Amino acid sequence: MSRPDKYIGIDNEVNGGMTTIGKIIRDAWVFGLIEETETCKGWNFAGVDALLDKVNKEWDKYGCLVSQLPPELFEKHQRIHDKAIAEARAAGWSGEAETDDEK
Amino acid sequence: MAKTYSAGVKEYRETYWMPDYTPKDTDILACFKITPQDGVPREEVAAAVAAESSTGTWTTVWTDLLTDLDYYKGRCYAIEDVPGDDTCFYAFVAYPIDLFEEGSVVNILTSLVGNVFGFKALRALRLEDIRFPVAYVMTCNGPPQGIQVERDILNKYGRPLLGCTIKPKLGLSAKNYGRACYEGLRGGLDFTKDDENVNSQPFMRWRHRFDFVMEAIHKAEAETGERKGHYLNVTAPTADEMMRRAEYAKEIGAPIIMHDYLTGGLSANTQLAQWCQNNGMLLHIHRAMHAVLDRNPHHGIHFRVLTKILRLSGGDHLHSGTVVGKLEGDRDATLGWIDIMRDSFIKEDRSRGIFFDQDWGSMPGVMPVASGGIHVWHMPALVSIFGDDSCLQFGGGTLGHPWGNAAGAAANRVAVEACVEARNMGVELEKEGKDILTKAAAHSPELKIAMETWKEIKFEFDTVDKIDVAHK
Amino acid sequence: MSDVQDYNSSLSDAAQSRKYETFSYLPPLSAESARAQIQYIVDKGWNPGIEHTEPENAISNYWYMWKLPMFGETDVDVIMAEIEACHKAHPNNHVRLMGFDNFAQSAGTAMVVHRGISV
Repeated sequence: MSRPDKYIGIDNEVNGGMTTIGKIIRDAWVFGLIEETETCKGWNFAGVDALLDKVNKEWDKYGCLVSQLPPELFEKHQRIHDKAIAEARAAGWSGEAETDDEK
Repeated sequence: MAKTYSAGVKEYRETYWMPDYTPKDTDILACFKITPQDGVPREEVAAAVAAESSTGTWTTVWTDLLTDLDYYKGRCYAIEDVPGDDTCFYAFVAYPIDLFEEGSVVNILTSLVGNVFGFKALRALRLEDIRFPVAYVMTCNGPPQGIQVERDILNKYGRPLLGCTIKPKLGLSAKNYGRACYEGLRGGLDFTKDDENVNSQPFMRWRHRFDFVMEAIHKAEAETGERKGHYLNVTAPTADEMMRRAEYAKEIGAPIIMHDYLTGGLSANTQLAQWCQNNGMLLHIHRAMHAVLDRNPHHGIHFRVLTKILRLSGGDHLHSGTVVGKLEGDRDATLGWIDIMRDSFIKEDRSRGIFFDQDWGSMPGVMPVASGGIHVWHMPALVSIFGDDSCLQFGGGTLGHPWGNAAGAAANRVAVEACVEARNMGVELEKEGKDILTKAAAHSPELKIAMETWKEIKFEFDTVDKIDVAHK
Repeated sequence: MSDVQDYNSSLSDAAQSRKYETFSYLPPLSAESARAQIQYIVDKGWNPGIEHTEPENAISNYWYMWKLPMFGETDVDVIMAEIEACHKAHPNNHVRLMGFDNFAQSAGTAMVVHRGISV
């Protein structure tokens, strides 16, 4: 099996999008780094990595904490992530999937 | 009885089965669970175990006639039924203290779980417990710093510590790895931890990891004003290499390092623990391979023995398993070995699988680390069961937060503080857990999402009990 | 990007970033919960003590001791009054309540009961 060299797009992700890359893309939407219609489909991994750096820089301004976001960003964050959580759940993801594989 | 040159099981019974013997305060005592081959009498096989784990393996040599075997031999002084299982029985063996080198858990294990485990008259054998006399305990170095000193170093009092194992985020580059640590620490964790599989692979050599992680610690400390740490895994292919990594961790100012004591080996562990004591470093201990030894109820070494061995060899943290969560864990037995880690005197208590009184003298305690399959809903029970002197480690329960690592960390920190505050006010945590967390979530959106992410746990105790008890 | 406002980094934004260990991730203790925590220290048999510091020196192990540890003091009102007296004398400082456990020979607990303004 060959390793994919392009990202599949957040709307085609496993776990209903509840993955590391999925979280990066949603945060990038929150911070306005990319349009909310951008699924990153077809991006190479260097592109995703660069996006991660940008997202990190934004988070650094707020101590990485949602509760420290200014109201406007806070609202946007809630809207985007609430929707994502609901969709992921509908696709079969749950918090237990995150802890089930631990010894 | 005249000494002659011959050896056999029968002979053992006459020499090593001594039901009238009263163990001395200085004896090392062991409790074995023995499953004999069919038709072999209990006393005979128990005597053989005493023999084969002490001087028995010397008796095929004629020089034993020149040795004072009567002094050095192990003595089986008692046999007991195993409640609820008649395929096996307990045998209690006493060994004279000077059969073993001082300060060497290695020497003790070599004797007690060496040749005897391959002995043909046995179908299976399990070392259930060892009583280390305080005279022997005092020859061992023990935990490098101990729980109180750790608290003073880290300036953390009156609550459990919080940790998280860092899993690969986006690739395994040392820089991204450090970033994941940074987020967890700044979100409110006290520690992050190297995955035990992370040593120094081609994709991430140890030195880069150490450098990036230290930067993460420094920045998180500057931001939060709190002291932070990361268990830098120094487990290495050779003891020299292990020491090189430990020295570097100290050089860059890391407060704590980590070692896998079973796979890394007990000599290496003892050496590292002594070095940590001399260099003011804390030592976190991982226990990979323990299940190979302790999982089979009839064969191997019980974890409470491995716990005692580690306390003697040296370590400030040891994974204990959780009592809650999805892991198989027998609550009473787990509580038993948690006491063995932390307390200075532990009384014999068969209901918790503790076969002997154990006096640790002035040896400091080891902090139990609860990890594996736990999340924020487990917090009330964890605080209630483990108390303050513990490290609660949420891996997936931190990193699996839909908003990421920092949010997961903050959720756990708010939850643990809310539980401690409530406990101090006299609230019953396990009963009121949901209310406590709900109230705390009112001012923490991170905690609120964590509570929605994982399912509420209903606590039902006394369901699993795998201590040997009569069930017929 | 227009909706993203510029914001100081958390290193310099001390007021919301600096923490002070136990309970600092919860809202400030109310007088009522402070009393409950004092009662806990008393019930544990620990000796209460009060320490304070300028926020810029909070990272040090050694904060200023307010008078002496209150050896054997079990009256919550007396302890509460000392906390308030310390706060009144040093209104800009962090004030923390300690419970000294003389068996463990270490603090059993420590919590900031008045938060100064972090820098």
